[in-house]
Amino acid sequence: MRAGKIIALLLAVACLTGCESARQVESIAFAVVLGADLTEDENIELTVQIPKSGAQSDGDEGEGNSDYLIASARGSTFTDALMGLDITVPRDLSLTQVKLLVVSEALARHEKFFNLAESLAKQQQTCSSAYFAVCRGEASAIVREQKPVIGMRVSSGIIAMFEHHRTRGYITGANFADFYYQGVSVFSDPVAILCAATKTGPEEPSEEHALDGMTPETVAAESENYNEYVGAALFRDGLMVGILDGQETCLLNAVRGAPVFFNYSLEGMPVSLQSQGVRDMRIGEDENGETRVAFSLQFTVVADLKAPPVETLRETLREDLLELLRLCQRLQVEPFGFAEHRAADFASLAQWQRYDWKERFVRSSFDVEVNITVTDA
Amino acid sequence: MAEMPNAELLRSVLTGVLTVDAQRLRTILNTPENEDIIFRPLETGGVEMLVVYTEGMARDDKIADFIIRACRAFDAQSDAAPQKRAQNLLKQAIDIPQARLENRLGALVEQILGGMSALVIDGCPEALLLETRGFEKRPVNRTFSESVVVGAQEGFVESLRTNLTLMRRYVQSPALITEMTTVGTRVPLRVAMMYMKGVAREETLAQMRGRVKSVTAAAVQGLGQLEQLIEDNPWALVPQMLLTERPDRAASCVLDGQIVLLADGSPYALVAPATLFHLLHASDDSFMRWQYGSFLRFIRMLGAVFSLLLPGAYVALTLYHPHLIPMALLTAIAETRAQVPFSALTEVLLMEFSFYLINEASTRIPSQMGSIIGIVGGLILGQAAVSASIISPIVIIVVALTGLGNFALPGYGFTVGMTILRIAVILVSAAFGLYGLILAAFLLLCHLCSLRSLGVPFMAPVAPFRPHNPDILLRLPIWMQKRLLFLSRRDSWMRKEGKR
Amino acid sequence: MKLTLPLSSVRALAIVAVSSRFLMGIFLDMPWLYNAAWLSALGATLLCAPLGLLIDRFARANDARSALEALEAHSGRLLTRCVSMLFCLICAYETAVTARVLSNTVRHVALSESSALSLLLPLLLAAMLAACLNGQAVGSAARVWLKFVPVLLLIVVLIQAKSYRLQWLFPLLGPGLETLADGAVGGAGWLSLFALLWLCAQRDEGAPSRSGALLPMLATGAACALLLALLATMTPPSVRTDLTRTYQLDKLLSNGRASLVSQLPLILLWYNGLIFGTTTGVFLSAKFLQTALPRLDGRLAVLLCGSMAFAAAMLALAEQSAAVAASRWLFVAVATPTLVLLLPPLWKGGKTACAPAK
Repeated sequence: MRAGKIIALLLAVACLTGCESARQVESIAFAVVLGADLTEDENIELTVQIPKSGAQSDGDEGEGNSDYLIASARGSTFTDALMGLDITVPRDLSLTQVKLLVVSEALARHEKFFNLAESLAKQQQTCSSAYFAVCRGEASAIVREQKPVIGMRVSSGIIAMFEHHRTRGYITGANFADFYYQGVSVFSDPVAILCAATKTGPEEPSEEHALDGMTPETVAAESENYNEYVGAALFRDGLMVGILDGQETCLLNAVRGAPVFFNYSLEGMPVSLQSQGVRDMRIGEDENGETRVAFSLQFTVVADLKAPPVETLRETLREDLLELLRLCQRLQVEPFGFAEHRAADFASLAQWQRYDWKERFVRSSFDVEVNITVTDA
Repeated sequence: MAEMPNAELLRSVLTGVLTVDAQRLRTILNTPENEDIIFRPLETGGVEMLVVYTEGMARDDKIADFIIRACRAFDAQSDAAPQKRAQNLLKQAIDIPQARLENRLGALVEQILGGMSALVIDGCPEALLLETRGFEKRPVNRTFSESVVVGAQEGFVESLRTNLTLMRRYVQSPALITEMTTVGTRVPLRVAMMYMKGVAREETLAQMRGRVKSVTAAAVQGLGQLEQLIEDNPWALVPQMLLTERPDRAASCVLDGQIVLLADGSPYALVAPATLFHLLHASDDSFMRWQYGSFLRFIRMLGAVFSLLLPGAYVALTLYHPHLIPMALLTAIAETRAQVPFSALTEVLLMEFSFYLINEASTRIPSQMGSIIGIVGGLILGQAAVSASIISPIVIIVVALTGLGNFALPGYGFTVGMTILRIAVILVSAAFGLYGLILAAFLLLCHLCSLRSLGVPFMAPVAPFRPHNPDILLRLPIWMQKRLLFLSRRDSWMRKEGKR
Repeated sequence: MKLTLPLSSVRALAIVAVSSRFLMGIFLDMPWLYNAAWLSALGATLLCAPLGLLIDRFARANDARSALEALEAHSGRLLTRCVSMLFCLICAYETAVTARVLSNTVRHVALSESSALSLLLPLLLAAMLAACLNGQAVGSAARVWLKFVPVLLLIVVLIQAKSYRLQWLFPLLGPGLETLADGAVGGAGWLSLFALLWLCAQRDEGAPSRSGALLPMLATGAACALLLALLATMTPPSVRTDLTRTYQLDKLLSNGRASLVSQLPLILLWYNGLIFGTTTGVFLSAKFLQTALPRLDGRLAVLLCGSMAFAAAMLALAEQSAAVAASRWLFVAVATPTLVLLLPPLWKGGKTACAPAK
């Protein structure tokens, strides 16, 4: 009994030793958006958006966002810049509630990007489920202009917006963890969301097709929300190598198996398409040793006022898909998830790596079939 | 230890000489200082008798009608043997149903002080003890601390006789045994031990008898004190026996093989062995349909979890794990806490103590001033404290939910134990966050699993597993209860007859 | 005080404690198994099966007493005590590893500024206090905890359901057969702690008649393999060679792809599993020490073994590299003495060697 009392007393004393890690929640600055730019001197500039306690999100603010604190700092590495932010932000900076990570295109194409991604991944409790975007222009502009929808609380506004964009297929819905794990994996290449901060878009749309050729800086629309999210950024070996426009992103999502619902323009006629997944995926070498990728993509078309010309639609879609595949071949990027299918035919990782999928993909030929079902609803 | 006054006399027996016996009784009962002990002499047929009773405890009219009048009508001289006078009176004259012969002075004194009347007869070495109890007592009323919506509304009262009657009404079986005993070496307290013969385990009965007999306290003032003297682990914060105000609950426990103790002056029953699940169950669980009973039981269990862990979880999450709180809620918390001068821990402790201060004050306050509690508690401590930014509204919600969860538990003693445990959990959570909370919960679980109640593991029949009725967490239909009474004997005759 | 572990309590305790050690060891300490770790887990289960069978047979042949007491009667006092001492040290080391991992987890999740001392000390003190309550209390607590585990697991699976991709289980053999076999041997060492628990258990009135070690061992191994397969479907395999415990811990606790809010049920499962693992380790270690030195009071034995584990954890003997190196020998260290001591009496025939237990 005495030994038990001694142990209990020691336990009580030991409990006192942990108190120093406690932080009052109002003394922590929770960053909601984090942006990273590459400066002219090739340093990293980090910008954070921190909502102020007691602030409600309100779209009528206009210029000068009093609901948020915007802070930025520079350093030669991510860690140095973060230290600068720690010093300049008047409270304990926490990245655990970040909902959006934005990196400028210049930084994404620079060799420093890989270290940035590694550093972010190593940050304890950084919110890896944050959406990850590459912006055309400055990330700090995105951070400054990012506002949620009027009347909603700050973080749920961003999430709701991305969910909407993702279900429509405009973006890939990639979060940072997806991006990072895919980047270090032995399979397909990662993609990120593409965005831009534009105060005014072009006066007229550039193409006949709604999404075709549309990138975030060419969206013909205006609102108080300057940031536009449409398209995808392609990465290979830790660096950005290219972009996809709106339509290409929708098709990419369809090939990846996401059930997207998007508008497709066929000779000026609007067509509502919904992807129903990929079937009959076959990847292998033919008798000449050439890699052949064959799959069939299912779509459903809603016949609104009149039935669309199915054959023409099928052919156009097929052509667009092949165009997308060839673009990725040219960029030497495979973001479709084909690698995962092919890897199932191998026994071990060593065998898979010896196979050198990335090299074979670049030289592959494609056999794409598009199946369309017309429906009333 | 010094002996009680007149200990020798108390151990002696009647001599048969009335003057000597009367003097001994006067000495023991400290008359004439005790003016309420009445010595009423009478004579019939040349035989001197003496009625001794306590004024107020015994009924005068009963004594007049059924003792004095009956004695006067009896021809005591016709009896050839003086030693048998008491026996003859008992058989031929006295009309009181409960009467017995007694020759020990100690037993006589005990019963006189309990409200019985003693009839001492000259020449007879035995006296008659006659049931004349008629003291003022509270009538059977609703329970104060164990209210139910559906079910009996009667509660135990302070009179042992009435309580025994209540139990007999609920369990009309000849197998219900009532063993009377006393506890307290100097000032005895009458205690009744009730159990079902053939259902309760012999070893449990033996343990209970042994523990009650081994109480060496000079005086035990009620079942609450008795519980503390006989429980397995008096240092535990959780009671290991059940105190219930409801006779229907006590009857149900007796039918399950448990032992019920009733005592004079205690308006509740002490039930043992009891497990944690007995402390969490309410009597109306089985009076309703199984779906309702199960649902309410689930709500109660949730209340118990809230009561123990909610404030600690709030402190842990806000101080150490804000990343686990959704951003929308986090901003709400930060906004409301922005002006509060205290830390989250101080806030929670302040509100906890205020809540229990209000609780304690409302228990003690005279009823004429009862409305003040509402004003003080609601307006001053609630609204004013929030308006002055001393406390954040979220803490008030947390503490309120905790209090509601606490009072959803049936047993009052258990709720106080939970409160103390909760404070400990809050402190540990403030030191280590979820790590401390989980460590504390783990230690508490191990502690509960180590407790015993009359030798029965406190977490039985869940851990260690014993075959039991499906009536622990969920209260499955009555017709599925097979009477697998894990507390009763293996060969218990209380089983379900036939199939449904 | 004599430390006892009733047979009715041992199954739940073994499942909770050993599964957490097994998962922890394979997932955290062997990241080079990549997404094929579940195969190593299955292999480890098969490797341990004969050990479980042997324990069962021995226990059945010596129905009335604990296996340790029967061992002493068959093999002699000296040999049994030496083997008990060895097992005591093994259990103390495993406790240190488990405690170390838990303190790392806590530091990773929240208390990043706390020292190892302030994280390890409360854990080991709590484990010692719980162990002092004896085996029945800890085993009963494990039984209660096991009732919550499926609910929490279900919540975790539902929250992360969208993240699972079956394709990431392939290539099936991952790093190759040789590496998987190496992992299986290490895993078998941790799974063989089942055997140590059953050696210490003694029959009590509540124990079911056929409370064997084999079935729970196989079930635990299979369940852990399933969990590891599920974990493998959360991230695509990577061929990085610098994967640390922290990297794997991050993958385990939040996967990164599920929001941090969903970390809570995982934290509950993980912390509790490791706390039970630590407590069981301290208790087992003390029990073996008491077997080796019968006059030693149970509480003092708990204090000594807890202190040994604390010292090992604080002196960095329980880091990833040391734990993995030790795991290669753990199975041999447990299985060999067990085989040497238990087989001969079975060959000779015990008192009721062929009679089935009632």
